Amino acid sequence: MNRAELEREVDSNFDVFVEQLHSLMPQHAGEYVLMRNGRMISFHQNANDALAAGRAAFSDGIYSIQEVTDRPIDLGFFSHAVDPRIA
Amino acid sequence: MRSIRGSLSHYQPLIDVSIGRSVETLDRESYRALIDTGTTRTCISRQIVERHDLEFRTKVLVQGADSMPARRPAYAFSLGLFCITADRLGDAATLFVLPQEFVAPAFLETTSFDVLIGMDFLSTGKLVIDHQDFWFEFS
Repeated sequence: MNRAELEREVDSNFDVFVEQLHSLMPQHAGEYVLMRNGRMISFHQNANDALAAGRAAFSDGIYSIQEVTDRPIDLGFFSHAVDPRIA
Repeated sequence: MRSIRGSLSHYQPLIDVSIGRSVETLDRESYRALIDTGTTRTCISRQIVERHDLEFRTKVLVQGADSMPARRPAYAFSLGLFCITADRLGDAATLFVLPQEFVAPAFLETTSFDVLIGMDFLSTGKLVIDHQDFWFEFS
């Protein structure tokens, strides 16, 4: 798997995902979507299933998953007190 | 599920965990994990990501101190918990492998712990913290 190619894939998929998030929320909130080449391939109930589907479908490893949520992750102390320490 | 017990260290509930790219690659190498009810998602240190060459699989929005969420890379991994179980020979640490994979952002390592066990996992069980006798249990 080409790491740089994967990073480009994840970044571009994320851009598409954010653009479409509002329209996804009513039907798919809480689900995970498998993405490739900026396309939404399938929706899954959890991250496990989305990762398994990605491994089965794309042997080159070039895909990403996104949780359908409009709520950012809150890392508590790491979010609110030591933000610069988040990698 | 088995219970995980520990003593509070400087008021911190810390446990030992194992990390791997998959359940097959979990080993006896342990990392310190903080049980953190203030964190919505389990996350790992950058050092663990690099040591285990974890798969970069998604980007997530993480709340920042300036209240603006920021895009962060997140990585897939398997997690095992070292549980203290009592038998006739005394206490022994056994590795309890969680069946689900985690996808989590990374933070820069601290001196105290390498993993934050967040509410995504803690909400699946019961957490008891006894500040009088300085112990905790998750079951």
